[in-house]
Amino acid sequence: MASVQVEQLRKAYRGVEAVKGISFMVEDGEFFCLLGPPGAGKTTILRIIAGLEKPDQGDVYLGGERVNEVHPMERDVAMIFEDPALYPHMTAYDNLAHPLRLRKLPKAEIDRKVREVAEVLHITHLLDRRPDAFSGGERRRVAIGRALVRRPRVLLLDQPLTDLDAWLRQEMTGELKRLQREMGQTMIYATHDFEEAVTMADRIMVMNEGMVEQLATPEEVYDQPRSAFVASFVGSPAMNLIPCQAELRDDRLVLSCAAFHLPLTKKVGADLTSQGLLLGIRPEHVTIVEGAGQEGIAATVDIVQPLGDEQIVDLSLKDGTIIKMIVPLEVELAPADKLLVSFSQDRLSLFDAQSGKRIE
Amino acid sequence: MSEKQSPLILLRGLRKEFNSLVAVEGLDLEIQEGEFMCFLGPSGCGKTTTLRMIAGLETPTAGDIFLRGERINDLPPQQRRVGFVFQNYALFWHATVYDNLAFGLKIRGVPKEEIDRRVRETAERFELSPLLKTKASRLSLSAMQRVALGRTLLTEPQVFLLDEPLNNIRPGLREIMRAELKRLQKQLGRTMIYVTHDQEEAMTLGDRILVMNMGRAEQLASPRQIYHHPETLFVAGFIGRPPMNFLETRYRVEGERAFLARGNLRWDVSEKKSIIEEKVQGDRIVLGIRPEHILPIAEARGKGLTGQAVPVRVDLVQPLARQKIVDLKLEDQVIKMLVPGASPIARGEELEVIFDPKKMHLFDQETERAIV
Repeated sequence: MASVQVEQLRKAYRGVEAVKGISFMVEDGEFFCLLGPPGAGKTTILRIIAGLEKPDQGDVYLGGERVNEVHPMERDVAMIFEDPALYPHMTAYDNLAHPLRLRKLPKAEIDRKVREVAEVLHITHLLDRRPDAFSGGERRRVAIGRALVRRPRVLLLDQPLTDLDAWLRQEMTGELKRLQREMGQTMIYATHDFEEAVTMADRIMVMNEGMVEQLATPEEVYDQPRSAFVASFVGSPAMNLIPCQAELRDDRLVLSCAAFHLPLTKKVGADLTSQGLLLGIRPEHVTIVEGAGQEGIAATVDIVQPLGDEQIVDLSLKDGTIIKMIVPLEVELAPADKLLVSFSQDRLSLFDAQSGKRIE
Repeated sequence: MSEKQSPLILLRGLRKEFNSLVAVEGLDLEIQEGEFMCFLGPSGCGKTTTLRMIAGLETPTAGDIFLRGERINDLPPQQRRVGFVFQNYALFWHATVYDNLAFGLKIRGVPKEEIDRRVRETAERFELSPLLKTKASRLSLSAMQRVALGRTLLTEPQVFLLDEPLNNIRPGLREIMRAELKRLQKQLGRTMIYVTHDQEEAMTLGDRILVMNMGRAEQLASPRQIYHHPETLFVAGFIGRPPMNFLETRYRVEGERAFLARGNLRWDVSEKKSIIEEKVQGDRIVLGIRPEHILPIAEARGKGLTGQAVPVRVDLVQPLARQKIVDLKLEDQVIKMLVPGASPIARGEELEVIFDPKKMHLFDQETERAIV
């Protein structure tokens, strides 16, 4: 296994910059996720690390050694693609054994390694069968097994679970995470699905248009998004972002928009009164105000979507703004119900409307 | 016909075989006017085949399809007045939004002025007015969806048929589009039949859900009903995320009390003694408990919940945005527990958990049906 370091990486295709000067360091044995929408530059970075693309600028280090000029075959890096190809004429066993045979390992050792990996991936029962009979999940497992069996220094995965059914995807994320822990394998995993990233990663690098929006643990990315982009990209449903202005009233900062005025309890360093703001609040931090005489933001229930033991409720505010709230399934709500809601103050995020940057 | 108004769509004994393979096996179903109906099941369960039979794209091997009481088995697709929205929306990518919307009316020879009026009306309703001159290939996914729906609406269908239209759209955007679709359906008051393999979509969208498996209906009910009272092991395992945990147990009676036993663990089911004895032949019962209904013992006691303390070891903790999935090793089995994101539970920890006794599901292992 090895660490991966990328320094000031740049790459353009036909004049369009796909990666705009990105640096990061992946620790030995870390599960590192690149998260972003299509076109963010995730795949380009993986391909540069694998040696399938040459960077226009910048350096790639594996285990501390600069590998820019090292041939892909000699980097000892494995890459799994969105739709992994298996050798159709070979059994799963032979598919797994193939990379080891190429390296001329003794037969007994090959057998031991193949069975070991098959065991961990729960594909022992498939070993004698050919890929054409495999389900999507089975193909994925065999492909991952084939990459793992030679214990590459780094394993790169490019959206390997994208087109699987939701339940299978979730099962496989659990397995991949367990596998990665057990083997101590350094993995870099690219995805546009924040749930996959949050579930598996030690750290997540959120990317947009070839740049890094945030590099942090899943908890930080979720709780302290560095930008409105991260806030809206991470979370299901996404964070509510409400345009507003700040004004000073009796020395207190009040957030104002067409639908409400919200006095802020927390201290904010900067003077915010001259700029447009986005108030960010996650749906689970919107709560119903109960009891007579309480203050709150007036809202009308628009639609109700049950989900497990919770429900996602779309609320329409006074000015027609729609925000989402998550409450337990027991709470009885129906379209057109009128209610008061409040935002948990310690969970509020503020962003500059112009730059999208977080304001502390 | 009976006195009461006939349902919009009635399926009776609907069956479809491909060669010798049975895709749909005797399906009976009523869909009411204005209803949002979801067909939910894994690939190969027969949901899309059923939808295609309603559309007239497949001919049933047996059984009947009625639209407002009229048998339409032999009616060609274009005369059924159903609107089919495909997975990839099947827009004309090089044409403008306007031309995409107008297409169905043009081929029916509707006068130009009327086409223009109705296209603009629809564009307004679907918030597409500023995009009328934009090429379909340049639209956002959400706009594509609205164009596909708007175009279908302009053909004045009696029912919308949607085949996994939100597949492969990233989470985050998917929730937004889902909510838009549901809002639209309520505003239009139109009947929609929506096919999906994603339980989350079905739960959030459907007024009712038909859960299908291997060509058969497993359960037809509201999302809440299906979540709280799954009728079969299949439905219980398919609905909910992560899925329900299942433990194989033996039924034991001691005097007045009845238990589900598994090794040294015993869950008191005395309240259900008579129903179990009436319904179950053998003594094999599957105990089902959802991950969100397993609680660490301190928390359970705090809520006044009692019951068998189950000793487990934490095998894996996976954060899931605002919650965490905790894999618990119970002897040789792994069960999943859902805890709030702030929970300090860590890998390797030994702890005791309680299954919320009101939320336990019992299934006959033989018949795989819920014991109720």
